[in-house]
Amino acid sequence: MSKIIGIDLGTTNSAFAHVEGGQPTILENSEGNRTTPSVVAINKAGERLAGVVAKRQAVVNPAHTIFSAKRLVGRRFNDEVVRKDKDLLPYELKEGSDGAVEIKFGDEYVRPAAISAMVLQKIKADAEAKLGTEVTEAVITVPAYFDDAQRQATKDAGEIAGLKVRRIINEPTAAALAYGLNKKKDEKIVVYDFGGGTFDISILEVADDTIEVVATHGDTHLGGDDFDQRIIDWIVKEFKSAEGLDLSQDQMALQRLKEAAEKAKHELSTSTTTEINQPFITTTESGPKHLVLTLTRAQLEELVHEYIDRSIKLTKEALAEAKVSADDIDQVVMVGGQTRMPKIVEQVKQLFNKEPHQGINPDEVVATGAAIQAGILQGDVKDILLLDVTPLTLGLETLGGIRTSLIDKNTTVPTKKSQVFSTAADNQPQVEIHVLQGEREMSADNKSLGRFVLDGLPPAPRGVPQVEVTFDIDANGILNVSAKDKATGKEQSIKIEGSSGISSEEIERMKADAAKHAAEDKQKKSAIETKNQADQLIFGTEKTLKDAGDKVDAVTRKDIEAKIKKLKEVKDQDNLEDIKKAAADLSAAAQKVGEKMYQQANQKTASPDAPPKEAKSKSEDVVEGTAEVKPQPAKETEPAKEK
Amino acid sequence: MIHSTQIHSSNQKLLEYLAGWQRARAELDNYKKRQYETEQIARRQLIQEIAQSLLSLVDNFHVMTEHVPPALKDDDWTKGVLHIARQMDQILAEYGITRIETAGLKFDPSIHEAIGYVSKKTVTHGMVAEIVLPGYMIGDQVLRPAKVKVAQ
Repeated sequence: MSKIIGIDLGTTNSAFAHVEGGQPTILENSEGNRTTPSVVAINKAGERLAGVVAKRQAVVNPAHTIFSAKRLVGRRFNDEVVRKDKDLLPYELKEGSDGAVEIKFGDEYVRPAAISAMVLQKIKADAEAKLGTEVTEAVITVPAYFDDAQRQATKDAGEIAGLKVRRIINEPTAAALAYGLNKKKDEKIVVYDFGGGTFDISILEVADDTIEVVATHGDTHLGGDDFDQRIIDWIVKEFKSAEGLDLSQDQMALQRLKEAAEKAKHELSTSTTTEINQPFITTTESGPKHLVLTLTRAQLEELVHEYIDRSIKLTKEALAEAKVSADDIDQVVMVGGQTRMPKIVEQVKQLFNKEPHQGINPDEVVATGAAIQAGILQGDVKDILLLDVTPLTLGLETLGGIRTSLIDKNTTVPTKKSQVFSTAADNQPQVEIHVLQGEREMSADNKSLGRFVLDGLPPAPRGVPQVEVTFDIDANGILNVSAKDKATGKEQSIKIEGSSGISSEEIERMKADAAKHAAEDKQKKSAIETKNQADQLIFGTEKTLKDAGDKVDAVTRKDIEAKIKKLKEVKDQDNLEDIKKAAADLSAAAQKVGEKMYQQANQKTASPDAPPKEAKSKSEDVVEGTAEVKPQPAKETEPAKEK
Repeated sequence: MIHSTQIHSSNQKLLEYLAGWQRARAELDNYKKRQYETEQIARRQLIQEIAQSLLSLVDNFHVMTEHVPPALKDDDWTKGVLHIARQMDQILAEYGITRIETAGLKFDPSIHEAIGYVSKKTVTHGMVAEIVLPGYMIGDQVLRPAKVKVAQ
């Protein structure tokens, strides 16, 4: 079965995507890029070029390099649009026998659709290479204002390229699909599309499973490229007033400025100021000249404000045309690379008084939506296996009331996970497993799903018993929690039904709660962990002292005992800094014991001429590796309550 | 008593489930393979991205080396800077980043980007006459095409 791909056939750039495992994914072209220039060319040798390769030779082959063919597709030669564009395009146009536009390409005249077909052919070949399978069908997007003739011509282009066009969909509709807005019944959507060369505004309405275009408006000659040009002009002007030199006459400098301007524009989308730094931009008789300028976001906004204002004016006009007010709009979708500019987002947000959708890469959102449509059309694989996910994190309570997660939220079920825990006290006869659901760090703030006790643990020092806890969720969402003592093989378990039968409102509430308390929860958790670590350090050091017996001299022993006492004193108070300091003091003192013990052992066995430096580093290694002294991660279950 | 139609429909279901299971296993297997590939690509892209942003530094360094004042040519400090420039090229080479050869070549849009024509009697038409900005390859992919002027 061949794959259907979704194609955003743009005026300046195109993109294509497919659905893989239910997820739309943008495909890279053969040059490794996610967008492909919609440019084709024929060179003197009669070779046809498409994409970036055609674009790179445009300057030396202007008459036979065709770009912006989309502006002409399906139009008549006498269209006003064609007349206007004709003077701006470096290639030749003529009227065909039926009144349609024809473009001179090599020795012949072809329809714009044939040009688009060459772009589509490259896309088809690149998609096939990427997917390793034949691609014979496609969903192609067109601007919402395209008339029947333009849509038909686009469809023809697909067929010429060897693609069966399963559907032609509107670009704003595709963008709305990409955000899943087709499910928002009876809502009005605005798609604000600010691309490289064109600006389009569309107002959509979602009816029963269909998205209807209510109004469209725009400017076919307004885009991000205009912004770049403004920055270049500004740099040239600034340099001229500072150095008296005109960089616009220096082609090499101009090339560097183009790249620098684009880079500055991109940087100002994330930072408020950027440095344009181009040393040795040009040379004069008096020596090299450097270009170093600072451009702020506010300055950039000042440079291009007329373009942004124009887009907002056009948006208001579209609203008036559709006879809706800005308040009637439920959703706003941002499309096109220029919408990354914070000022644009701000203005759009201000106009509609709501946060616009912009999570998907604005250069790829249309192709993504086209791929989703392709996926719907392709959806012939019978889905007998509906896979569910766990809506919230599942975990258990550990020492100090901390929640330890076992299965993270959004894990696809069925799934199973095990982790080994231990005891928190010497000779602890039992452990209690308290199963929790939720996103909070402290167990008390989560939902309790159930609890059980595993008893009969043989007497052992704390941390020694190994209790393996397993969480197993089957395809029906039934959670089985079991705990097994590895030494005795004793096992206890609990079955929790309906762990996922929690209402979606409650899930949202719990998630929101977790987000709200994230910082304070983290602090609480870290406080408890610090106390747990202090606890373990005391325990470990006492054990070391005991094991060492008389190998530790009285002075050292006294010092350590004092430090243990100090840590015990501060441990149960709330000053974390005190605890950390006392713990660090004790830890350092305890290390000396290990060091001493090692030296004593060394004096007995090492050869007398062994370099002392080596001995020292060795002893350090041993202490580092001494598990008893090192604080362990808090993985013990909470101590069993005495019955 | 189980009716034969019941057996038939059970059998049908069995086959359907088996097919679905196999499909799922196959998809997981394919996913794992693709994931490996994706990781390789991601690594390559990361190197490309870093290399891309380093290119302006490389450009400027090369421009600087071309503008050493004649009086300082034999200065040891200048020599040191030139060594650093060479070291930079070596580091690029370690990552498979190489400069695109342009001298005396025919204009080829797969590695060159034309930014204009130039009339030069010494160079034949259609050949690269002047390099405005050097281009770089990473492996067999173009990191940045060489920006050139073509002879007319």
